Amino acid sequence: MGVWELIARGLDRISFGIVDTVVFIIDHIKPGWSAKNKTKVDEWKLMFYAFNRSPLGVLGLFLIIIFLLMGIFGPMIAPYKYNEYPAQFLGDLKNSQPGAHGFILGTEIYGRDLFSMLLYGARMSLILTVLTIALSAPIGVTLGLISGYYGGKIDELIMRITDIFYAFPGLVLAIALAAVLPERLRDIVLTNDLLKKFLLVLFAGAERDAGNIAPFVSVILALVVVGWPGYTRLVRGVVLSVKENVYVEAARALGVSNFSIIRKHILPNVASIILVVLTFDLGGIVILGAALSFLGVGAQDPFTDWGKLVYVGSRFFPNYYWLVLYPGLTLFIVGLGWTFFGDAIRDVLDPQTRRRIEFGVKEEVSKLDILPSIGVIGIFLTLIWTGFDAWDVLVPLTLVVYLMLSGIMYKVLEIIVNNIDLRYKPICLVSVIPVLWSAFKVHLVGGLILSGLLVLTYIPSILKAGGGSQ
Amino acid sequence: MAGISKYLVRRGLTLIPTVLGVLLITFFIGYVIPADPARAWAGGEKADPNTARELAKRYHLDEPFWSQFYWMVRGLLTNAIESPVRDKPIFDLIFYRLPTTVQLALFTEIIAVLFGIPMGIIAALKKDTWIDSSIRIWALVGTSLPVFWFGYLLIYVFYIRLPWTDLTGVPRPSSTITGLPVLDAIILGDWDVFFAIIKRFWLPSFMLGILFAGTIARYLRNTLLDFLQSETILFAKSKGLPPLWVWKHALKNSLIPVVTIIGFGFGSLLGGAVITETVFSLPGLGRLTIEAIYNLDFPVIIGTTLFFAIIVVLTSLIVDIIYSLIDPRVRL
Repeated sequence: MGVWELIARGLDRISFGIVDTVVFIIDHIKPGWSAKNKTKVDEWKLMFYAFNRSPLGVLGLFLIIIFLLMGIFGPMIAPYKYNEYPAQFLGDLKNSQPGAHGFILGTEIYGRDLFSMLLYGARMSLILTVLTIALSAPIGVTLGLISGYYGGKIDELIMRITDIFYAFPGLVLAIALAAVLPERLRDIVLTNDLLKKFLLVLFAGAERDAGNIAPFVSVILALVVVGWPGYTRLVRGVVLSVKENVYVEAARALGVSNFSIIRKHILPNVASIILVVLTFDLGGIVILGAALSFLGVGAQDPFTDWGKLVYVGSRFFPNYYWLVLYPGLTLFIVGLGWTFFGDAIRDVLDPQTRRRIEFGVKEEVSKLDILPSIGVIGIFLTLIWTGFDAWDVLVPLTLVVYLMLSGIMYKVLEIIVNNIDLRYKPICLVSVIPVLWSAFKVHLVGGLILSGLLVLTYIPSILKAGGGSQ
Repeated sequence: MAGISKYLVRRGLTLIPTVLGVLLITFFIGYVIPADPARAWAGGEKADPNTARELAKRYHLDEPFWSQFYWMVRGLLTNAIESPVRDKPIFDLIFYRLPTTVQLALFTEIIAVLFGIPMGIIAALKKDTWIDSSIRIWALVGTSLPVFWFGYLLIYVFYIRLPWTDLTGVPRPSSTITGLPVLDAIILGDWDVFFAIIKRFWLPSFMLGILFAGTIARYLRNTLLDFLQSETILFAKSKGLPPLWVWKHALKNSLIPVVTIIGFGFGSLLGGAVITETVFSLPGLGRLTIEAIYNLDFPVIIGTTLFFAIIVVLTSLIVDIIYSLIDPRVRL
């Protein structure tokens, strides 16, 4: 069972190397820094140590890095441009399927290469998330700091304003704003040359499509409007509790200015919580932005993001299943990456759980954690690789739900009949048969890999059961 | 119960600025942000100037802002604003579509609670085992699963492959009593319609519910574990109370915050209905909003946005009231 431990040790070496390099650089700028801040450096290393022991977090980081690479380099390495229609005369069902005529993931309705569109979509999503966070977080955090620190009338005012924004369901407000903003923005984008050039570079667009960027930019603005109150409320809450600390009182008594108190004593305490919330939000924003495009208010042709691809594809579902399946899957994987990463970061930044990880209390669970998730994700990937019809993808999906539930059902049974040991779960194993059958039917090698991964998925439960009940 | 009325008054007073602000924002969306409201309301760039002029007069769009705001609020209060596309007062349209959305949210909540609470309890009972981590992963997956994509996959399995659900129309019983079709069907004893409604709604509700259940489970697990470490429980244990009794106490206390989650979930479910209704072609409020956006039907956009906000404000008020009833500490 030492596989993950080996991987984690490898990761330790890399991450400690990174920390050492950073310390080395700082030492060059400020001599003697590392000697003074030894505990800080140790704490950093400890954070990395704890993070490396969370397989889900590492998986999340891995997915995020892929997303970032796709977003930055995607449009450059894409086989076709977003406004190139290489397959427009092949448009019937058979000719646009994945694999036909050398298009790996098939072609979409207008004859564009789906794989290239996914790469361009990654760029759109990346810019969307970065801009949204870069605009909404500073506003929200600043207002939260002011509100929490100064209190009184100012606090009341800011809180009432956030109340107003909280009254709208985020999605509805975002839709309404994104629907009315483009008209104004289009004029601004078209008349302001510098802004136009900047946006075209960001979205990897051609000059003549500049006007069609406006709807997507308005989605970003809408998300900013929806997003900031969350940060304000969160930060305010934390500041209120931090403010009560004696060291803040002492700093105030010594006549330290309000600004310095906020910067030196309050902000560092708020920072880790903001960081955790930001990582979770990044995933949420990717999905929310795609959802808006899916509803028809975001990306406008010829620009396309993942949500828009699903929207266009949904009209031809299920015949052109790949138009819905792949963009959505990419979106799901990216969202999952941020969420897993955020979950691990939360554990790492919380000193209590960090110590638990350090002393190996959580170790055993982490080891078992990784296997089902590798199994489940592997099942997805294998099925995509083997080129199946869509049914075969859906079986594992239902299996995922079933897997979660079957464990629960089993435990309920176990609690009811406490003394009967249901060691091997025949029910669970039965559920595997249709998956394997459909996989073998389509692709022999794929079927073999799939069965291997499924065994991997079930190892923890069998091990647990085999280890005897407490 | 002396504190409760005072608390309610205080809570009610904070509503006033919120409602005013909500009105102001909807006004901004419909009237201020469009560069030329009259033209935008008449259909944007390809609008006919005559229609635009006529609309401007009908909706007072050529008057100063304060006057426009006055007409908007007055029109909303008396339901006098009509949709130019459908020629019906906007709240008539909204109330006609409302039952579908409420039904969807209701079924979703039922499924979420039915799955979420047992999942949370089991996760806490079997803390740090693989079941606990499976439930944790499910909660994480639930927050990052694009509903519009997952919906199509489910439609493929349960509609195209298996004839287990319907995707057209919404069954309504012969007469309306409460306004909610599913309740009416039960009261009238019209079981055919009842089962038709279940057949139509189970899939979207199941999808949203099972995702939401993960969040509830995770939250319940954490509060439960926190409470089990509290001094109250330590005291109960040291007095030698049986474990079942201890658990009963812990559960009672941890369910209080879960009420908030469920209540606020209702608001966000209504908002999220926009996507679900599009995927499952349910003619509800969310669908109305989207159709209004496609048709540039500004009065309806204003109406639905405002209506959603009012529902959220009301649910949070109700949640607060329930909370203060079951947890007296809040009232202080």
